[in-house]
Amino acid sequence: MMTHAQLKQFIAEAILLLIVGAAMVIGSYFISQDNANKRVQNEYHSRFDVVLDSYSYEKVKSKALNDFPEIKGVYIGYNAAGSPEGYVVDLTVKSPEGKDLGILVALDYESTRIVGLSLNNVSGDNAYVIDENNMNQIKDKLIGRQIPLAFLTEEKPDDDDTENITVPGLRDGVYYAQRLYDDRNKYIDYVEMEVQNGMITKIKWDAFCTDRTNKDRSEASLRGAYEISGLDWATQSYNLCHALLECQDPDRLAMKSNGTTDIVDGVTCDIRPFVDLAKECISYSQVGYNKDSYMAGLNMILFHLYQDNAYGLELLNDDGHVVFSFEETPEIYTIYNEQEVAIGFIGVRQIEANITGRVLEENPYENKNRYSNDGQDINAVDYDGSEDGLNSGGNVDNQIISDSIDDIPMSEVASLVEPVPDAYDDTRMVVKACNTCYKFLKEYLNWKV
Amino acid sequence: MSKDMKQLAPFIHTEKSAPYIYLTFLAALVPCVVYAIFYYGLRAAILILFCMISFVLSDTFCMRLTRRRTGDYFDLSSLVEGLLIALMLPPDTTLLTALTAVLFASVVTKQVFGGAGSNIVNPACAGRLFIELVWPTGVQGFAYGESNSKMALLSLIVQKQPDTLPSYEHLSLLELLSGNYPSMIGTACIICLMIGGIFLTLKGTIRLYSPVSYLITIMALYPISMLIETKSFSFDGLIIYILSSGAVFVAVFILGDLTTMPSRFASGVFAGVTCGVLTLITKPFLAPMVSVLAPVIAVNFMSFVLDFFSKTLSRRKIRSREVDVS
Repeated sequence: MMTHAQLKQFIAEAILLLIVGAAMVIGSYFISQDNANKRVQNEYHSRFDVVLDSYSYEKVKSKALNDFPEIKGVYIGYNAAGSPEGYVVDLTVKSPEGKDLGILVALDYESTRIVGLSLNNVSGDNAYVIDENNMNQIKDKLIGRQIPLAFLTEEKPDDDDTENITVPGLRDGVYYAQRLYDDRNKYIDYVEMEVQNGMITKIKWDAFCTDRTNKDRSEASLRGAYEISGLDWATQSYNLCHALLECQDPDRLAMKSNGTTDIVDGVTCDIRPFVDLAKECISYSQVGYNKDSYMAGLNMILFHLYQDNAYGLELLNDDGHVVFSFEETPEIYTIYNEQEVAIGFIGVRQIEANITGRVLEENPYENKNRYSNDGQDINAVDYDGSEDGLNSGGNVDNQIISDSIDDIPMSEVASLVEPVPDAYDDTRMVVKACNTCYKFLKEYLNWKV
Repeated sequence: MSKDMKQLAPFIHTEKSAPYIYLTFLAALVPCVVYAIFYYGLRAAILILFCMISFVLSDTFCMRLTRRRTGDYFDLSSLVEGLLIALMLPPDTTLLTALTAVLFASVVTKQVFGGAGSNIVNPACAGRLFIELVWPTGVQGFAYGESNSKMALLSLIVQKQPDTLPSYEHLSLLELLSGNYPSMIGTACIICLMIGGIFLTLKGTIRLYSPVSYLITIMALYPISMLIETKSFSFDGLIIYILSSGAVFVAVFILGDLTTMPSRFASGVFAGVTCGVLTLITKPFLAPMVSVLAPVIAVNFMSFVLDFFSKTLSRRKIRSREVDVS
């Protein structure tokens, strides 16, 4: 039998071996890992270069993948500077007949536009085969399009293309509008909109407080100082702005008569201030009344009322907003009917014109129908007689909530494409794959659409 | 002769006691355990513990059933055998598969022949070979790299789809030495195996005749084997095969076994050479693990015969089989 001393010696030796072993294993691992990484990257390059030629790739590890068994792997491609360039999704989609189509879809990192497609052959008899010629035509149709996709059917008018819907007459520049009175929490809402190439490319909705000790509403909501039901206000504001960038038109947000909307996920707050101010910005954009002009107009109103501008009255905050509520002089911005009942409000541009007596240049796009094929005016929101939550105008093709594709509401569809002639099923399979990528990214990135 | 010496096979004559030998083996395997847990995480740790505990329980149960033990002696060989089996398993092996190997090793190859020290073949080797033959898909779970999660436990319960091992041709020497590639959980790290082998040699609990002759035979005959098999040979291929096939693990921890391998120099060398030749002969036809382990079993069966002839032919009464140099 072993003695106590021998046992102690064994324990000491075992501990020594443990330390030496751990040091050798960990040390050799890190030394050899560089080569292992290179080999992995080489393998990725051989697989993904055809769809996204990046400097390096990194596999995405996300629990969201558990919900998408058809996705075999998602990779992020990085450029030499280490900035992400795009996603590569390796997936297998099933046809209605139960056949498998293996495909690699590469998406731009920022815009999630399709930048590459490649068939990833599935072995066995159950493989769905797409002819090379058809695949090339499908690539021509889809590459460059933003996901999710749907088919543009021949019956639909061209102007139903969601991607092409823009408010006409928008001039490039930065436009701004703020409410002229504060709400019960002393906040004044404002919207700042940037237009490029006739499209709204950036929009911000926030509110500053007339009590300057308080933070802006978005910051206050993130800190818990401003609470509303549902998600925090900052997130709801972001989601709404994102939705407007998608649909380009405040009317397509389907605001109901109570000021809420059902079609923007996660938004439960009253969106009336946003819709009104966004429309005001759009009308300013159509006549070129930019943010500087707006601020000058505000200063003129202040000078008219108080004989000094915002700077002199110390009304400017750090962000350059005029922190002032005109609640004591409602007559300058309120429209009254013959019975002296307030029926609406006018904007800064109109007030400025009223003060100076200048005749405003007519907005040629005011109350004009974008679709102009049925004489309907869908710019003007008329809650009376129209169904809540849907676009007014009565044209079913223009309704936002109409259908879905691959379990994606049509209101989320970013691009409409035509199927390749004589290869409808093949195109449909590839569209399905792209839409699967969209659903994954929506969950992975926690998009609020 | 101490009481414990009676537990060893009759051709073992050494002053090292059974607990000393087995504890030395356990200590020598510590670096391999570190490697297994570092690379494969929690499931490797559980596999190792499960195999060791189930081997001890199986041995204890069998001994109580046959009334060969009264509980006054804890058989450390069970721990060693259980650990050896675990280290020869792929990382994504279910506990059921591991238990099958343990039960076969414990009951059929060890207890049936009389327990520790009396077994003819190496129990761990036989157990591992058994599941490789009867349950080949159960020992092909080689999750590695990005698909290898150190906290994953599901593979211990649910059998995953068999993985295809990648080609080792692109591995660097450092990767081969460090075991940084998909393999069994404890056989790939040559550095750890060398540490264990050196420790066993220093402690005098390993006979080097067979391991050294086995590795030299493989190195010498591999070119011929490859020329016959593929009509081409590369030195890189030899290095990759030696380092990645599990041959080093087999050489250090199985062919160096005092119980099942020949005790005399000539017979030990003959056994090592035979094992190497059989390995290379069977390599083209059998699964990699089978071609490495099956020759060991064959040599185990030959051991006592080899020792007998070696002793008879030498006509010497010198106790040259002593390995205790201390």
